[in-house]
Amino acid sequence: MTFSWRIQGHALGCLTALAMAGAMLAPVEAQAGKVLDNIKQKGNLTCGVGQAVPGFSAPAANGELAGIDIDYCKAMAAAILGDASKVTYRQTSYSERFVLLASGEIDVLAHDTTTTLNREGAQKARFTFPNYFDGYTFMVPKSLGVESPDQLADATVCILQGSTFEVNTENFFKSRGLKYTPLVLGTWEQLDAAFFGGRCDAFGGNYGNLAGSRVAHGNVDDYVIFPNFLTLEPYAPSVYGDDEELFVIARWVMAALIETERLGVTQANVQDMVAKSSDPEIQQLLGAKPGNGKDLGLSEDWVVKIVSAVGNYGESFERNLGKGSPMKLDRGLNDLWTKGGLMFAAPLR
Amino acid sequence: MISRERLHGVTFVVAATAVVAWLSYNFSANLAAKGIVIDFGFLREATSFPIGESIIAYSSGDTYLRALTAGLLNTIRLALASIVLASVFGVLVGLAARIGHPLLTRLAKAYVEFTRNVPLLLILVVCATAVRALPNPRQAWAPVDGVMLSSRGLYMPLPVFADGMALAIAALALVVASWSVWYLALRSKNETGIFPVLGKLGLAGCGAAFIALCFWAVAMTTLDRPALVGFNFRGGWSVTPEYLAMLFGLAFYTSGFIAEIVRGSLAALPKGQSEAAASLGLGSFLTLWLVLAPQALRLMLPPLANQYLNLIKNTTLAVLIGYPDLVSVGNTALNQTGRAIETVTIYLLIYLSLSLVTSVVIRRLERRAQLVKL
Repeated sequence: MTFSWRIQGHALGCLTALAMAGAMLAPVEAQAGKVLDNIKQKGNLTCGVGQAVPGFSAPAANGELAGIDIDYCKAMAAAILGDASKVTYRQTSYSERFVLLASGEIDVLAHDTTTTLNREGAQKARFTFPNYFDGYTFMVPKSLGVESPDQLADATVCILQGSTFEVNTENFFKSRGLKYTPLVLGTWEQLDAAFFGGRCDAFGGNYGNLAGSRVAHGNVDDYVIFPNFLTLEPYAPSVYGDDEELFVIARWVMAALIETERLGVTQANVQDMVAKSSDPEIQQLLGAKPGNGKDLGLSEDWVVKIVSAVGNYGESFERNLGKGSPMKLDRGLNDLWTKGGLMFAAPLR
Repeated sequence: MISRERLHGVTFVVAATAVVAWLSYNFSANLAAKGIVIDFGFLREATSFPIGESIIAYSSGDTYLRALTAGLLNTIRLALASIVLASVFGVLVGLAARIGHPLLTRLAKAYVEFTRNVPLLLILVVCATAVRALPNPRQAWAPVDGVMLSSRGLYMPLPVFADGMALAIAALALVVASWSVWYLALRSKNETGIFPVLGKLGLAGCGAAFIALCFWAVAMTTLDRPALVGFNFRGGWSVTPEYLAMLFGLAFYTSGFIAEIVRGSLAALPKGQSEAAASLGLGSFLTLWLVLAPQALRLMLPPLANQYLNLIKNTTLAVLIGYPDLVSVGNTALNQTGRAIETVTIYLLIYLSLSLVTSVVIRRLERRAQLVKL
C-alpha cells in the first residue's frame, strides 16, 4: 500500500516537473519566432494577396494567380520550406489586409501595399525592401480634353477604399484649393465598372494599377494616365511585428531577388552559376561559400531555390508588368540603382 | 426537489455563462498576445479623407467622430426614405392582389415572386449600373425645365426664401392663432350649442391670412437652379446616383415582402367582415378603409417590423455601391487608423440601437392598434 502510494507520488512529482519544464520552455519557443515555427510545422505559408490586381496578383490564363506579389510569396516559400508551391493564397480586400495580418490569419502580406509610418508604427506591420515603386496620379478619358490634374476642378473622382489614395486625393485637391466629389469603392473591379461606365471624370490611383485597369478594359488609346507622379508609393511586402526572425527572412528574400539581378544570376543560369562561378559575391550569395543561410536559419541553397522558382527581380518584373505582360510598363523607377532606378539591396554578407 | 424546468433553466444559464466567459477570455488573451490595446481615443483625432455626400457639414480635418456621424446620418436618411417608399409600393401591390381583377392579381403575384426571389445584392448592382448608364452631365436628360438627370445624379431647382426665418415665424403664429380660435369656438359651442359668429369671423380671418402668407412666400422666393460648371452641376437640390440606386433597390426588394404581408393580413380576416360591410351598403373602398384596414393593420404590424429591421440592416450593402453610409465611412476610418475592433464595436452598437428603436416604435403602434375590450 505504502509502496503504491510512493509510486504515485513519484509519478505526480515527475509530471509536475515536466509541466514546469514545459512552462519554462514555452516562452523561449515563442521568442524563437512562433509564426516562422508555425510555417515550418504546417509545411505551408499563408500569403495575403490582392483580389484581381493585374501585374501584382491576378489569375493568369491558366487560372493560377500570377504577379510580382505572387512571385514574392513563392520566393518566401522556396527560402523557408524549399518548395515554392507550398503557399496558400488568401485574396483579401484592401480594407481587411492589415486586420488579417494582425490576427495571424496570414503569415505574409504581399498586396501592392505602400510602406507608411502609421502602418509600421500603429498597425505593427514590418515592411521589407520595396518590391515596386509606384506613384499616385489620375487617369481620364481622352475625350474630356484635360491635359493636367490641375484642370480637374469640380470633377468626380473614383477612388479605392482602404488605400493611401483617399488621403492622396484629398491632399492634392486641398493643396490647390479645388473642389471635387469622391466616389469610394472597395475593389478595382467595382472601380473599373464605375469609371469606364462614365460615373467618374477621373480615376485616382497608382500608375501601375491604373495601367492594369486600362489594359483590362481594352481601349488603351481612349484613356490618358498623367505621367507625373503626385506622390512616391514604395510598395513592399510585410509581416506582423511579433516575429523578428520571420521579418529578417522576409527582408533578405526581397534583397536576394534584387541582388541576383544585379549579379546576372537568372532562372536559366543559376545552377551553372552555383557550380562554376568564381565571383566571390556570387559564391556567397548562392551559398557556394556557406554562411548566409546559417545566419538566417535557412539552408545554404535558399537563394538558389528562390531563383530557380521565380527568377531574379528583373525577370519577375518583365514577366508580370514589363515586356512579357499585357501592361508593357517600362522599368523606370523600378530599374536597378546601377541603371538609374531606385531598386537596391543592402549587401548580402 | 428542483423541478425539471428549473433544472433546465439553471443548466442553460450555466452553459451560456461558461461560453461567454470562455469567449471573452479567449478574446482578451489573444489581444494581449498580439499587443493590441482597445482605445476609442482616435474618435477625437482629425481625419484626412473626404466623404462623398453628407447632410451635416464635414470636410477632411474634422474629427473621426464627426465623420462617423455623417455616415450614420446618411444611413438613417437612406433607411427612412426606403422604408416610406417600400411601404407605399408594398401596400399598393398588396391591395392590387386583393382587388380580384385577374390581370392585376397576376401582375402583383409576379412582382412579389420576382422581388422575393432575386438576391438583394443583384438588384442593387443592377440599379447602380442603370443609374450610372445615364448620359454624362454635358448631355444631361432634362424631362422638365430645370430638372437634370445624368450619371452624376438627379438635380432639381431648390426654392430659396429671401427671409426663411420670418416666413417660419409667420407660419407658426398663424397655426397657433387658428388653432386657438378653433378651440375657443368649439368650447363656446359645447356650452351654448351655437357656433359663435366671432369664431366664424376669426376663422375667415385666418384663412385670409393664410392666402396672404402664400402670396408673400411666393413673392420672396427665388429658385436656385442647378447649372453646369466645368464637370458637374452646381446649386439646386440633388441626390447622387448611389443614393438613388440604394433607395430604389431597397424599396423594390422590401416592397415584395410588404405586399405579401398586406395581402395575407387582409386575407386572414373573416369573410363575414366584408359581407357585413357590404350588407350595410358600404362600397368597396369604404369597406376597405373603415372595416378591413383597421383590423388588418393589427395583424400586419409585427411582420412589418421585421421587414423594417431587415431593411435597416440591409443598408450596409451600400458599401458595394459606393454610397457613404456608416459602414463605408467606418471602413475608411478603420483603414486610416487600424482601429478594427473599435470600429466594428461601434457598428454593432449603432445597428443594435437603430433596431431597438424601430422595435420600440412599432410596439407602441401595435399597442395603439390593439382591440380594446369593452
